[in-house]
Amino acid sequence: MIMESKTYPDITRIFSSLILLFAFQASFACGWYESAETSRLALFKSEREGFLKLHYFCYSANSYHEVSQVSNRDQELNCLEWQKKIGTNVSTADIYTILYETDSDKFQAAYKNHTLKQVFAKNTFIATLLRLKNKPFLDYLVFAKKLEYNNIPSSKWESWGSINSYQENVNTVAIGDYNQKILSAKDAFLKQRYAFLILRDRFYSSDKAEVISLYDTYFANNKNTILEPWALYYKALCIDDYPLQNYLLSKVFATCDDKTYAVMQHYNFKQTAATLRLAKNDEERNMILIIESMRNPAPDLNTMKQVYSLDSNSVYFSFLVQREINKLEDWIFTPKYSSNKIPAVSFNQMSWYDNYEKAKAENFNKDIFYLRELKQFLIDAHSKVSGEQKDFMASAISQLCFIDDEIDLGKKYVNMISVKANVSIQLQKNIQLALVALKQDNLKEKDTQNNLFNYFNAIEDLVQEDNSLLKNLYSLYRIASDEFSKQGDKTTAGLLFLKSNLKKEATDSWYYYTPSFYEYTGYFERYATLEDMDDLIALYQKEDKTPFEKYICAGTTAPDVNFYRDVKGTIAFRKNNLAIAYQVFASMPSNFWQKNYEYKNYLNEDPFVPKVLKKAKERKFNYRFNKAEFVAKLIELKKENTPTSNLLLAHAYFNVSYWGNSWMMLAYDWTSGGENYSDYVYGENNYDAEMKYQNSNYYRCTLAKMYYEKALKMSKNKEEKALASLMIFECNYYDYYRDFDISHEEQAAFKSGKEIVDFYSVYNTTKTFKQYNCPLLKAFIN
Amino acid sequence: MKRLIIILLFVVINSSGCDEKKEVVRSFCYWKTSAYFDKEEDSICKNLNVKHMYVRFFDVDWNPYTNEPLPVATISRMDFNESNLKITPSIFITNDVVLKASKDQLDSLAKKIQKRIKEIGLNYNKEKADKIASTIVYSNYEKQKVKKTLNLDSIKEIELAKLKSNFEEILIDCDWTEKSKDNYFYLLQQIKKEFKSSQLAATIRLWQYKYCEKAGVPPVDRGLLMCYNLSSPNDYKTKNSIGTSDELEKYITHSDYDLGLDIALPLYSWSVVFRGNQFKGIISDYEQFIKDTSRIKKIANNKYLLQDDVLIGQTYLRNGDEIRIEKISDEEIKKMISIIKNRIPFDNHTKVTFFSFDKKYIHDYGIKNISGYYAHFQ
Repeated sequence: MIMESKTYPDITRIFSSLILLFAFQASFACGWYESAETSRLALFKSEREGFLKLHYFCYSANSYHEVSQVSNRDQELNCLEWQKKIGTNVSTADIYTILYETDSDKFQAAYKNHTLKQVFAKNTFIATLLRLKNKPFLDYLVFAKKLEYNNIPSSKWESWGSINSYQENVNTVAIGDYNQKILSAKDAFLKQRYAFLILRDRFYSSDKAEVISLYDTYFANNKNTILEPWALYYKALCIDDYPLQNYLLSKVFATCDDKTYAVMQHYNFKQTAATLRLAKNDEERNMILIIESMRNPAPDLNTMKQVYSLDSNSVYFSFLVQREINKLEDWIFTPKYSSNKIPAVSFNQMSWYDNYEKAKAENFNKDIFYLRELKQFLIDAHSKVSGEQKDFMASAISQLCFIDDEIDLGKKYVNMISVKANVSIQLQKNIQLALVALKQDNLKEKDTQNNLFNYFNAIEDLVQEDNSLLKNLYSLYRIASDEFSKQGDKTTAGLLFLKSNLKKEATDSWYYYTPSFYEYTGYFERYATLEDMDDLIALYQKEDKTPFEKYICAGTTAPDVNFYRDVKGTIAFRKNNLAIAYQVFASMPSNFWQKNYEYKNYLNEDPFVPKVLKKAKERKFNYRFNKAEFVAKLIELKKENTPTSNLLLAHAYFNVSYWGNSWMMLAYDWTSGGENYSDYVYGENNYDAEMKYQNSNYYRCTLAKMYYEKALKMSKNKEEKALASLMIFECNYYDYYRDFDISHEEQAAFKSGKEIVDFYSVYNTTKTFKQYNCPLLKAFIN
Repeated sequence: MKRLIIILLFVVINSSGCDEKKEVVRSFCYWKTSAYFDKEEDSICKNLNVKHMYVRFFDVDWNPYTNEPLPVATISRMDFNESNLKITPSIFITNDVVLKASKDQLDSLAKKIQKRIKEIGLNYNKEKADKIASTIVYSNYEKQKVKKTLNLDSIKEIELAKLKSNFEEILIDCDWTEKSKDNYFYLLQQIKKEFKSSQLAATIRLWQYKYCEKAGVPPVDRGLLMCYNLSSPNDYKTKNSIGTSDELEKYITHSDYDLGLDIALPLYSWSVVFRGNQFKGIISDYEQFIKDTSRIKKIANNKYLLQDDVLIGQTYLRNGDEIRIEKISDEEIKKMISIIKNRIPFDNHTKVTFFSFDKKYIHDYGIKNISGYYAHFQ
């Protein structure tokens, strides 16, 4: 079927090549890819005290949410237990230092050398432990630290015995007669602590029976310590009955912070009914449901209602509300604003691929319906709760209103948030006020812009303490960009779009990210008009920028105003407005196209020799291209209007098409098929816009053909006529095969036209014929 | 009289020989925990004509719990590809080790160091032999008309036997103090006994050079003078904590050091971030972000001011933060070399080494410039 592959190698080269251009794309060496979690939009981040232990389970496209801070509440409780035991004059901070911040090496060495007092001078815990009466407590600590030394996975010490890096002495300290240790401890506090250390040691030695026995003996009836849930965790993992294991793990989850992540990793999610049967009361039943809900990516209002009915002030309930709002944001916002165009987490993924657009519309309606149901439930609940929960609920309701574009009601609930609300709810208020301004106000007004600046800045100020806010900024700026675009301000929209991308990159990368030429200009080359470009250049050059303007320009404007001029000239050229294109390009440095972007690599051939007539080995890539000179030449050739000038014009228009060697006069990237980098970044295929470049010349060679026809008609020179005839055939050929689909049998056959017949008959004695004829080209004569 | 003239003439002719250009041994320090060269590194070595490399084999630190010196961060792999380099194994010993170890422990430490260097060396040779043998066995296999497979293990053994098992020189790096001097020098003597067929070298910091009477001169065959890290980076007032020629001049005050010296110069840079006058941290990968003129404004030759909020690694830098780039300029390095040249005697065996071998810094300074630094010693 692919006859042309043998007939004309230059032509087929274009079809067969699958080379994606540009160095900047190399960062996406495996295609245009970013993780679903990176793309996901999220704006709602209100929290309540107690959320910290649940951070791992925030809604995320990753298995677990990445956290930068973990709860140390359990450790603090342990310190309080020590303080209660050993004396209130000992500070819990000092206990914390010794228990959790002192390396075993350092402690052991100081103990051995009798220098504890000196090494830990001013530490009230050490000072108290060194009293004679506290010797049993010190002995315990020495024992605990000794065990710790043998269990530090990140120890730097190596062995002289081997040149491989591995830890010295791992598990070499014998635990000895541990029963004796527990029994000889006279104090119940110490007895339990020795029992815990030994229980943990037995766990790692896979001595399940002993772990269970130690728990039952020393913790089952004495739960008034943080060690109990820690010990229960190890016991649960020693039980082979999954529902019972789940049940015990749920109790661990409810009573401590330190093991929540570990519990979730071991919890068996296919045992719900059997686990629930073990629950002894509503509270236990609820905890099991909460754990299950925290891993549920689907709508889960029913569980929320159950949790709420038992305890309207429950922090778990609030956490589930946050998850639910983040789900809705993902389902509604991510397809709308992100590059991936589908939710980051799809719980019924397959349905998306059958008929994506249909499924998308159905899902949107379903999601909005669900949103309203959730919102109504929260509105009903709002009047019944108080304190922090009331503020949290108001924040949640207003967020749901904004997702649903119900701005007035949203505003009403924002205003209900008290001034005493916690930092995260206040922060949310800033995001919501920004959304109100973006949706309701005239974005051209200075006051609106200044308010927006203040809201943005308030969030930026908190990123220092919480990097995860970068996701909220990415989402907010993406929505803001869309709103400015809707109001016709492409300048601000484009800068905010880049700002949004910078925030997104920052969340996903440990490395500093500098925008490339195309990232500075891409939005504008796709969406801006000549007037928009004038506005952008004016803003760029404005000296007394407002705080808002300064902010949107910071980090988003190109290092050189000529980047924008190049886009402006290109837009004019796409409209075939040669006068403006020339004026703009002429105002730029003549070496701009040697020094910037990929021009040197892709705009480097003679634009007046059609690419299709050059064999691969004949091509020379050393042409010093100057866009201004090129456009000036076109203007001059048009004026001349001779057969030769029209032929040259035709060559030039052929070469600035997708099929030519100077496509970079019109486009910033090129691909042989499929989605290119630019489509990926801006989330839609640009083919329709490209089709309009220069009256369709870009894909269809319309202008080229017109000038070839003109040359053919005017010329009396056989060589020129032969060349024009051949090139008219080429233009027809490209136009036909532009969107040729080999699987589409009904497509009308290619009509090669009269010109190729003439080429083989009328002009078969010309030099041109001799140079370019090829036996199989003849096969096109139908 | 005639005879005297002839003698004088002879002296003049001969002494003019002293002015012959001396070519130093071009060297680098390799201080990472694994070494893997590819074509790019090979080409750097080739273009710079690098003949020698100080390679950090492992560190020794004092384990306070077991009360003994233990090895730390041993190099996990050494593959210098096609680069044919003479290697000096380098061992960093913390001052704590020499301060706290008993005489018996130092005796034992010397033996352990010798054994470990030997083991790492043997491993290195084995990998090298393995590579050579694979090339011999497999590279021409496809081209052979009659396929003959050589025995890989036999070739490996033959190639391993060809490789030298001893290093010509061992370097011990320790920032010894007046207090630890005696123990350290004792350790060096013990190490020297363990390496009968190798030269022993020790690093000499600038203060140890300047105050050699107090610091003593280590009992080794050569010294490696480290001409960098002269002040603390967290001081806002410091011009450049890596070093300046002015500071270097204050340390290299004499030419009377009782040891032949090789020279180590810095070839790295970093940026130090200050908020207000407060030190916020060090960022080594700064090259890319300072190019971003829309977010970063140059306020002085080596200072930049942030004009936007950016996240670099885990540091969220804010608008208004100041970044001080610490890098010794081309001109400064040349000045430093002149100071060294004027004070420190050198010959064709003197090694001039740069700390450290890292593509990023080498490209930053440029092959041509670095080559010029070596040539500047001529």
